[in-house]
Amino acid sequence: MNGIRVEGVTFRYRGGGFRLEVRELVVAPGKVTALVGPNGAGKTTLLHVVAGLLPPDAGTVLVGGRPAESRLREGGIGFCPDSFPPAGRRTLRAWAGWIAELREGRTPGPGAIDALAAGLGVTGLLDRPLGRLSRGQAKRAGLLLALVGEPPVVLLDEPTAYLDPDAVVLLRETILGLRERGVTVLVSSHHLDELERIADEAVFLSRGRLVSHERVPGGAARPCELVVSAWPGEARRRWSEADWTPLEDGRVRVRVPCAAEAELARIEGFLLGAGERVYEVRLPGGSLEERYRDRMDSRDGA
Amino acid sequence: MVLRAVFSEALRGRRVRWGWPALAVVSLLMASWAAERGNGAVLGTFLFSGNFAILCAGGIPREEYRSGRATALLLGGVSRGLHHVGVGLAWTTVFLGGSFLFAGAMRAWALVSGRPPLSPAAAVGIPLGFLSLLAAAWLLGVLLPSWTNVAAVVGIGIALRMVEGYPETFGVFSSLARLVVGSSSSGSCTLAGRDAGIVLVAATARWLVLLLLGALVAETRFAARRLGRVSLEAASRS
Repeated sequence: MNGIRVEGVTFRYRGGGFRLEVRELVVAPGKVTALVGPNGAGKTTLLHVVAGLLPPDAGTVLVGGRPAESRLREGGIGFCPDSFPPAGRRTLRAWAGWIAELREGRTPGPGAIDALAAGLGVTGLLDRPLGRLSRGQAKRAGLLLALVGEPPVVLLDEPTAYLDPDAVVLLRETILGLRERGVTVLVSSHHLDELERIADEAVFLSRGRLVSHERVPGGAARPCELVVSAWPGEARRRWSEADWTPLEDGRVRVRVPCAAEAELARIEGFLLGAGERVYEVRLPGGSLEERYRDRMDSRDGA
Repeated sequence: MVLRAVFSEALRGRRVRWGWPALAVVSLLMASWAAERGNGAVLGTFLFSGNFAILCAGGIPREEYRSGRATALLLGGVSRGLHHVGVGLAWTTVFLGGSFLFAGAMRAWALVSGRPPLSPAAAVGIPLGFLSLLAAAWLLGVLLPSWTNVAAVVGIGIALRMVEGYPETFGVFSSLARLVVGSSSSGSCTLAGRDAGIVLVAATARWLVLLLLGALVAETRFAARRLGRVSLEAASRS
């Protein structure tokens, strides 16, 4: 299985200011797990450790039952660091071809990279040098490089940073698609509303320590609400279970039954594609944001 | 494929693009000054090769990790050891290419100006004599931060040369030092024929041994932790 197990891991920065200490963390295979915490909590450090890029001072990290570094060499881990990929004149297509070849041991099939790029909306970036990309474009390029070769475990560090709304929707659909394919995803972000839509579980990290690891409730307990510019007929047919109400200002409030929460990304994608606008997406009480505040408060009080 | 990727990416660094052409200009100026005293070609080539080696010693492995190039390749499944070898090969190619070009230019210049030219053995031998210093610098570059390895390489180089130069004092250590830095009595400028061949093969062998040793060191947990910190700290600051 492609789960992640972190046991007794410690890592200390030079100068001794920060210390990562994770006694036990188990990331379920085939699930999307959110890594949540304030700045400096150790999310990036933990992701580098899990990716096999940074051996910890002590402890073990197993990915798919094998040491993380071994899995990395086998091409079994796709990682999109916060700042990635390196700038330069080489094109995204060249990098993607290389990484695919390195991970799979063979030249990627014709169209494989184009198909992946189309899914991420980066087709127009494929033949541009990485050094000429904006931050948001570079982020999307990094996502493409993390996913080439179809690694069974994907780690994403702040994947929504610098992304425009359309790209966020595409990313959401991509992550949900990975989950459907049984890929294990560990994703860190400060955008809790986004995490809430995609994550099955959430790991709260503070000052280098794991505060809690809990399920992100979905399904019947979590109805969602959108405020959109219009709810066209095609949308009414496709999401017949949705309840929609015109508002006085001409906008439309749509309530999506909770069982369809995973569809939220698709609804947004559909509306944006149809030229409509999505003004608000509201998730009900007990949200990840509320729980984040609660966990951090209890940590501060401890 | 892996080596090609590492090799090609290592040639993207600023030091490759700007460092050695700048050194060539400085060395050329020094050589033209020294030429009036009759030894410009040899001195210029020594200067170029030596300065180039020191330029490389200033943290090439770490620069690769800091820039994100190494991280990108590691994420593709390249091992740290193989990355070390690839970077070493790329830099050696640049080094030898630049050095031979420079030595050739020096030789041509001397011939045209009617001065004693650099011998072909010297033109090849002087740069090769610096190869082990380069490989040692990369090895230390894996372990030591940035420019401290320059001091380490220069210090170790001088110490080994002294030990090697006084066999009557240092005994067996003198022989061991000779394995690393070569023999100071086999001045490659004056060697010819079979002797020159032996010296050149020995210099290449020393380089290869130190390069592979560097790859082994890069594979250790200790080195991986240090290099991992470099890339993580660079990523955190960007």
